[in-house]
Amino acid sequence: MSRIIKAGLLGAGWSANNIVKAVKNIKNLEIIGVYNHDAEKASKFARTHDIKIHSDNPEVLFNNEDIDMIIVSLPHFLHYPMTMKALEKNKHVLVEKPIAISAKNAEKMVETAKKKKLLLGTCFQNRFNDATINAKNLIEKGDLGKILQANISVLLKRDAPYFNDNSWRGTWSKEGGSALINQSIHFIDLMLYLLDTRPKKVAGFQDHLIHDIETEDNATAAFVLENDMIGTIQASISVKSQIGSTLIIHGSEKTMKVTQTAIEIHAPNEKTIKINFLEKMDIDLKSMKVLALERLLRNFSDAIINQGTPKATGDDGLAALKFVLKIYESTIKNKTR
Amino acid sequence: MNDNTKDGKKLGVGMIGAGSSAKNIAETISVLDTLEFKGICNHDEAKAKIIAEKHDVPFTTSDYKELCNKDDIDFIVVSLPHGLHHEVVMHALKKNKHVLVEKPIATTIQDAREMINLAREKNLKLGVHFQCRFFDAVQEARKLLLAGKIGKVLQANVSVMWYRDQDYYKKSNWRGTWKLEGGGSLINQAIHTIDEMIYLVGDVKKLFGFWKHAIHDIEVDDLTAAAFVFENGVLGTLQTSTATKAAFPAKLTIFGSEGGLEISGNILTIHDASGNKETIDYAAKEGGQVGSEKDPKKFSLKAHSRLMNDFVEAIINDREPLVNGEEGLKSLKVVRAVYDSNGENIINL
Repeated sequence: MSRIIKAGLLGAGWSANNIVKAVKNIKNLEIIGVYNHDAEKASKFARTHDIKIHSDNPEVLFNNEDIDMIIVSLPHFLHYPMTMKALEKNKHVLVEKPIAISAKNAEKMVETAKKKKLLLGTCFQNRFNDATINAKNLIEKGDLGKILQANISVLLKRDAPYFNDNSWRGTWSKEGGSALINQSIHFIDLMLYLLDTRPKKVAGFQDHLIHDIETEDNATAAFVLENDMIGTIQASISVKSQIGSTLIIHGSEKTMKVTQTAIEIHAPNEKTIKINFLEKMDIDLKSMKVLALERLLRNFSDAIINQGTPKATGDDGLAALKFVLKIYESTIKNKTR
Repeated sequence: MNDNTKDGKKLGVGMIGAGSSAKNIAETISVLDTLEFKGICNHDEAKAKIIAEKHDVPFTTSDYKELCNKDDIDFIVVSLPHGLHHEVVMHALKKNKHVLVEKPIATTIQDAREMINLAREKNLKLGVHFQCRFFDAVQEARKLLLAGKIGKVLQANVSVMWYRDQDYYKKSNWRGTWKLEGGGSLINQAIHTIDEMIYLVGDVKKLFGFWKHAIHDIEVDDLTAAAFVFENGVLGTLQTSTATKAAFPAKLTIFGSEGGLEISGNILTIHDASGNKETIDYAAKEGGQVGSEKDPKKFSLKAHSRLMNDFVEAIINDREPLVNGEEGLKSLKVVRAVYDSNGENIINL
């Protein structure tokens, strides 16, 4: 008989909603409890999604013997304390990105999980996009030649209500940053994952040019990775036309553009190959995003069952976090804003 | 220029250098009726003679000092390996010639400063040949930016991802060296796009970047990446290459709160706030591609003529040319900042 992993979900927001949708298609994973600081929201969420337990006290989930894993989908500053409490109660933890807002805390999370032989995963679901899977194959086959440079471009739109309706956003103490730590971290992780490396040196610039927030709505940085590759990142959450996120990987032989939904391969004297996975799979963007999340959740619960390692670990969360923190540190140190 | 036509006196021009960009400049000089092409110098005089014959130039020499001594020459165009710009320009200025020097102005900021200072002291014009500023695409972009078409400007990106094979460096005795080329993909291939960015967005304040010779056996960069902030708070990034085989057209992207602009050669793409875009291909209108990655030598000379006209008018009307020494120095500062930063420091420009 195959084992069913029982999960407790912390949070009842937009992203928790997606998680529940994704879990519905996974046979060996079930969400049996939900926590929200607002009891009414927790109860409403539980009712909507047919979840047995709901509470405004997270301890109810931590102390529940039936629960194997906790999914943390809360404002960034709560990732660390909630993850630590869950680990202390011997729960495996899957935490939304960013893993935490300080490297020290993220390190503690990783160490504690390791010490207690529990799984800690970071919600980098873009690793599970079809575009990513295909890109990874091509890179591993050596199709691009020697990888020389990567450029990340995350140009999105967030309006004033996005910040005003959630007071934790736009603050250093609770969101820990914005355009980089919240939006761009996905594609930073995607780059580190596809190229199988870690950041070596990163520095850059950030500022709030449009939104009335403490944190950054625009940032740029240059970096070198452990594999000696160099690159740039440009990030913005104040572009009305919502251009999207792109990772360009320049190899000595070919260049590849990767988005959430497509890859493009450019080679000298050859026609550009474009594969749009939404068309290929005949699904819409929303369903594709839920599918990626479903794959991530399945991968994590399988890892619990098989005592394996999830595809997006706490270590991966820490690496991407360190990347963005270096940009903040260099901005402060060099007084560039 | 009108004054000039009035007295019917043409300005005498001498050119030092006979390489591919010198040939383009020679074409430009020969069609402007305000100018009289008086002489060409090249260390290999035979090459000077070929251009002289084509454009009916009466004098050639292999000694640039000889050209600078000619009284009938008002200004000198310098189109030499980058590392020779300083020595030759300084000499021409000393001989009271106005000077129009190819990009980059020099290979070091100190050299450029000396050139700028001497020109100022002697009340001579010093121009730098950044003709791309005169593209219709760039001029139109400038108008749109000033009119607030893309809202508040937020970020700029320069991307010049090209390819040059090892022969390109091997066959040249000056390319790939610090002394004579003064850099690689940045100072040679990308500097036009960097100059356009500075012209359209402003002066760069602080920069952090990396350079390396990734695949070529050269001293200088065939790959760079940098991030920076402008004096006006706009943020930027750049990436350049002569090492990646899948080449793309050189591109400057500027985006703001209400839209964006992309400039690639003489093609302008305008993005609005709703995600619609419009592309205006001025290159096709003019019947000449500009700075294409496939054939960088194929230039439309319209921008060349505009720059030359501006420089001639600057001499005649005793005003600064649009791209004077100070303006020409700005892109060199960005280039040098990438080399000096090299992943260690954030450089103050």
